[in-house]
Amino acid sequence: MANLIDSGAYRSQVKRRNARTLIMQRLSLATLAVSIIVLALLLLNVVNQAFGLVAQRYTVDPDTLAERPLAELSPPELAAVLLEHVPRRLLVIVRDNLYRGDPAAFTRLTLGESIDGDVPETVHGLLPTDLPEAERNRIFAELLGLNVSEDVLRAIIDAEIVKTEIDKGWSLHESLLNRAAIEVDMLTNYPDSELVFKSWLDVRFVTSQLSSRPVETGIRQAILGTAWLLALTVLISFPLGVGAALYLEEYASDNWFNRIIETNIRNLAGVPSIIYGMLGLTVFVRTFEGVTGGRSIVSGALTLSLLILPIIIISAREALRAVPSSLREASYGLGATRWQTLSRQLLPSALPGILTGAILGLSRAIGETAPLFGIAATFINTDPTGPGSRFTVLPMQIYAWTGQPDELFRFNASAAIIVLMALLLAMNSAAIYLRNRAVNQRV
Amino acid sequence: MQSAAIEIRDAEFFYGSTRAVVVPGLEIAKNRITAFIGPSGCGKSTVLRAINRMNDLVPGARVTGEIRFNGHDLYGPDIDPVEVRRRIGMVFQKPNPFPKSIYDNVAYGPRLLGIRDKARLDTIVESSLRDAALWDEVKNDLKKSGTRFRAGSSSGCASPAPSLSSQRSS
Ligand SMILES: Nc1ncnc2c1ncn2[C@@H]1O[C@H](COP(=O)(O)OP(=O)(O)OP(=O)(O)O)[C@@H](O)[C@H]1O
Ligand SMILES: [Mg+2]
Repeated sequence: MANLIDSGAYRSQVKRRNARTLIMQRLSLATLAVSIIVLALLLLNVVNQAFGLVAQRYTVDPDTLAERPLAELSPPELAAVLLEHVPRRLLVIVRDNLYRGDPAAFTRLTLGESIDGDVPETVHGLLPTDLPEAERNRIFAELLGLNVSEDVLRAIIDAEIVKTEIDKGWSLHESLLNRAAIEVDMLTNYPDSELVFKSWLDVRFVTSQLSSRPVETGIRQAILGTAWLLALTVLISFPLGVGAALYLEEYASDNWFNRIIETNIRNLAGVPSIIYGMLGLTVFVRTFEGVTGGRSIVSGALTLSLLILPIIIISAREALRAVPSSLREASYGLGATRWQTLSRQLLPSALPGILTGAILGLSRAIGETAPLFGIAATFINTDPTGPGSRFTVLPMQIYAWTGQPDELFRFNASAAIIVLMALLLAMNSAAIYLRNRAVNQRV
Repeated sequence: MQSAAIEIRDAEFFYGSTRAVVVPGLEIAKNRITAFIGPSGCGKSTVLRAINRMNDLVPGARVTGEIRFNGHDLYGPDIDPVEVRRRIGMVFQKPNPFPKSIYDNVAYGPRLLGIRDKARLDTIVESSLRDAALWDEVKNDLKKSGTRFRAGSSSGCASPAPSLSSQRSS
């Protein structure tokens, strides 16, 4: 034995084997490095466009509006600024912020009826049209001061009085490395503007509605639309997909019919998503318009459900198949029926795997634009209110912005991409967490 | 000698087209312990699993001939395999507990039969574990989930089956 190991042939064989292992190790490390670099470039590119210097100017300088900076003022003081500078706009501001009904009916209701919030006793029964204009505006300002938060009031002041304009934006890369050139550009082309650093992604951007001005626009409708769409898609595709997987895995016998169904499901998972879009448009938007309401969230959710059903079915089947057969036998051996075994053993232990597949399917759905072409709207600035509403989604919004002639919308698009990627990352983390839990649970 | 509980006549056991075991005739007496002994792969498990129709779960497994339990043909047309498994219990070669607490494992069989009453389940669990001589060892960990335990056999004891087939590795 000892002289066998000492022999030269053995040594060189071991050396060759170790060398081969090392090469494979280096290769896989290299592929990992490449994918990390690509990912980093992608992130850098998005971040590059979402932050940077902008040439900004105000129609009215905010520092001239009050004695103290706006950031220090209380809601009543901010409302007073509005009363002083834009008294004629107060009716519209109150209507948009403190009233939820039909806009045309606002002036026909008493303040007590129309206002959503605190209304002082003395003005409760008054109609807006009853009062002299000056008195009416004073009451409106009071209502705003009572019921609207400082942040919202400052946003209103910004939109109504200050009216920030952005003449030009620079990417983060240019802002950091080319400051001198930017300043020359500023002096020659935008002498009245001020150079400030802007984050295009901020709370205002996430919570504001869509607007035709890049400074004001936001993705509230897109986020709400995405949320509605995903919720409905889950409700439709999860029960259908898990049901189909259960049938195929546990009940279906191995005959030609079921084999054709199986093959087709696998093929469906590879069909390009635009084809689902055409199908959704013809079937859900046109043919069943009466039921779905045409270009509605329901139509979108049905289309996306079709898209991700194969993914859910396939992963649910794998999860069911991965349940150790000893569990199945133990349950049947104790006299359990098929349904008892399914509901008490198989489904609970396959659930994490099923959920992982469903989440991965959904995170595919959340990033898809093609299947929603013709179903989702591109520019819409009303919040979705129910399954029948018209809607837009984040990827659609991003796509629409990148096609706009005004270059500033690129920055909005990048900020929206960051939000979309954060959502995706959150969903995929949930999937990984569930998978780890499933692995740990297996005894 | 008492009358036979289980009789097997001219039975052949197939996996797909391969014939795994042939049993020309076999009687298993009531109220006795009967053991099958043989080399690995000779077909002990196959015959045993056929007796409570566990082989129904193996795709392609098939039995010809006659297997009778108290005179009833176990493979007759009006026989429900679930009912067979309720009456003929099985303890597996390898312990295979469910990923649940000891209590839930032992109570699984009775619960399948629709027993929901907490007090009744408690008694069944305790007596089953006592029968398996495990009670003193596990009585404090009954509700602990994920405990690896070798009480697999006691869930067989809690099955209300009058007949029990058991497998022990030699
Ligand atoms: N699921 C199956 N599919 C095909 N052949 C099988 C299957 N299970 C068992 N066999 C075959 O049937 C024969 C009998 O197997 P069986 O498991 O009954 O033997 P055993 O006596 O229980 O062996 P051991 O002592 O190892 O448990 C073996 O030749 C085996 O290869
Ligand atoms: Mg065996």
